[in-house]
Amino acid sequence: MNSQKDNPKLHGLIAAARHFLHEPMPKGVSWPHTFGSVLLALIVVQVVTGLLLSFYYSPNSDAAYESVQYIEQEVAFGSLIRGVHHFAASAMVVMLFFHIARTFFYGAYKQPRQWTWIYGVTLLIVVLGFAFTGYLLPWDMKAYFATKVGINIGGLIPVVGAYLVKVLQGGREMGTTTLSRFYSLHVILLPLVLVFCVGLHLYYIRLHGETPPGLRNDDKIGFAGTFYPAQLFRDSLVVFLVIAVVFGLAAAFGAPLEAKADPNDTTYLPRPDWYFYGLFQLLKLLLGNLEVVGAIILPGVLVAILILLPFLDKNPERRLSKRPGVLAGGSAAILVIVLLTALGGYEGRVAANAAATPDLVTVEGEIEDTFVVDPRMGRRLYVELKCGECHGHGSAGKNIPPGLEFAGNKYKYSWLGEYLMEPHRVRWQTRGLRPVARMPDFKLSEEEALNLTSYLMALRVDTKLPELGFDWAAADSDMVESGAELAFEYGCLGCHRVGEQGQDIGPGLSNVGSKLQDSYLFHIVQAPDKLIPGTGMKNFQLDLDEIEELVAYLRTLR
Amino acid sequence: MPWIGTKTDTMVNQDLPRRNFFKHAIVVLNSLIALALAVPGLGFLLSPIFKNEEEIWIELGPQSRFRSEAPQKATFKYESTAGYTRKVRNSFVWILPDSSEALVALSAVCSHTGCNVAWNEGEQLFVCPCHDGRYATNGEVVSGPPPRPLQELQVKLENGTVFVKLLV
Ligand code: FES
Repeated sequence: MNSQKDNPKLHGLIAAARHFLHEPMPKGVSWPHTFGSVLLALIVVQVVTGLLLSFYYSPNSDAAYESVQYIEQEVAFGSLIRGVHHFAASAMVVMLFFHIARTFFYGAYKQPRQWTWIYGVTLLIVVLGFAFTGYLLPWDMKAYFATKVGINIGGLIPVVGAYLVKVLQGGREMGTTTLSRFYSLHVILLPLVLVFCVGLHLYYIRLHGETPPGLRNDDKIGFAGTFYPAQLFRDSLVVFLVIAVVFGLAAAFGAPLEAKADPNDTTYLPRPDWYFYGLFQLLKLLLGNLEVVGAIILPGVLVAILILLPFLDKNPERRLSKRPGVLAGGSAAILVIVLLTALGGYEGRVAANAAATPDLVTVEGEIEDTFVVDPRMGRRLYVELKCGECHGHGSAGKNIPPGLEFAGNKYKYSWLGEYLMEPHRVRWQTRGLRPVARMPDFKLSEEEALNLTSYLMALRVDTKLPELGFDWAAADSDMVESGAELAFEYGCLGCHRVGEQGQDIGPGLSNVGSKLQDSYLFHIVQAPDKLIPGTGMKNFQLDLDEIEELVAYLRTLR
Repeated sequence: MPWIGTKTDTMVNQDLPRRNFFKHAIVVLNSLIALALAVPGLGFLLSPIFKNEEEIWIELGPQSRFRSEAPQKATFKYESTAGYTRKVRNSFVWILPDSSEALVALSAVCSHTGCNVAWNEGEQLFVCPCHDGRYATNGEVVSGPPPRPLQELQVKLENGTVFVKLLV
């Protein structure tokens, strides 16, 4: 048998396999070194299940959802295969986390292994790219709206953001062109990049060897056996367990599939997949102008640090006890990521529960018309009356019925209820802007109007319209007066009507104080174009004090 | 895995039972993984095989319409499903001259490679345009490549209306 080793005819695959299997293992290489192999195995699982899914899937907005439904319901093992693809994706993110953490704490990123590390970080980005592009493909509500949020985050990037959004969408709006783009990225481009990076990652691993724990980089390495069989056995066992869990989850729960995407439904509250909860939570904490910090800058800095790590930390010491700074920094980063993710998950659950069990309000009246206000009934009405057909296009532009995605941040409960009951009477009192499309009077009963109101008031975008600390109710008359002067100085009446004065170009303001919330007034004056893209309202670049005074005045108009 | 070679066996052969366990476990574990992927995967790919054809009865019209001397083309529409799409298709069968009370319907699909056969008045034969297969009025092969007669389809009469059975 020994002669086989020197057999010149032994070449090609067998020689390559032997080369890998006979890799000498440094002492101390053990279970934590199996994560990489698990990732490799999961890639194989994704390639196989992804290839299978593509046999039935259709990347077209008219058919994508139906084809996924067909896979789930009609194709033999369809729901299992799709479930495995779904959960293996999650498993990859988890394993990547462990793999990177292990590499980090073992100091395995240090020179000469910097290229192994850099291709590894690239692979992290590629895998997240897979997750993002794959999420859209089922074309259900969740897919559509979560991707929309993701694309809009890209839009926050200064200067290039707007172009990036168009490129990602494949047009001005999300639709079938977005889907075919994401499909191509997901099944052609990203896999090519993945194979390239995995190849180089493996090449460099083999070149420099595994990193034994607890040594300095310049210490002499002692070897104990080869990759085959002991380490390959450990790899196989962990791979087996992970894949068993993936199959178990897939069989027990399957991949979720919600209703088909309806772009007109502005009322859907999108949530990303769990591995983006952390980022989601970060965005919630950093509001307004800080949003770009949370969405772009912080993740960008994190990636940059990761990539540059081998060059920033040139200390050959790999023993953790001698690297207290790295230990503390790494642990803190991990803690923050885990906490943010958990917090995002927890708040998401709370929000979901709140949506499922809405706060019911009992309205007292004559005995026979006492009723309970139920936002769920309101949502039904929203769908039945097709409110989304006119109001569903987001808050965009002049003469377009207002979008309702942040109705809860914008209107006052009482005004909205009254308006929905008798839109024409209320509108007439308001005077002012007449939209091209008039709101029909649906002749809603008080109960229906309040149900709908309670539902609409639950639609909030607190990231765009955070509550403000200022209490205008406590504003003194001086402030109101200077606000009124400002309104005159800046020529608000040139477009808006207040009582008998002013023009009917923009919405009338005669009773704006009873209609709109104070904080909304603040935000719309501060950055009108950000709330209502394409609005005719100018940004007067007021400073914060001025806006506060203006709002103090406006809210008195009732 | 004998081809893996023995370089390391000499290195650590003092621990032979352990190494043997590893070798076997590797084979077993990886085979299980491969099986777990291969079985559902194959089933998934071959799924169309497991789909049963559906029988549908298609209405062809009142019996009085099929009273001619020559085979008569009976056209109809039916809904065909391909995966997750449904399309209405046009199709036809041949109704043979009504010699007795019972109507006979022949599929128009040539038994060779599936072109639609047409009735040739002059020759009094069904002629296939693709490879010149010919069938007699009763559907038997007269000449050409077709291996089998034209398929006879089940017909039923309900209140004077003719139905034919299709497999879709
Ligand atoms: S298909 Fe009819 S003869 Fe070939």
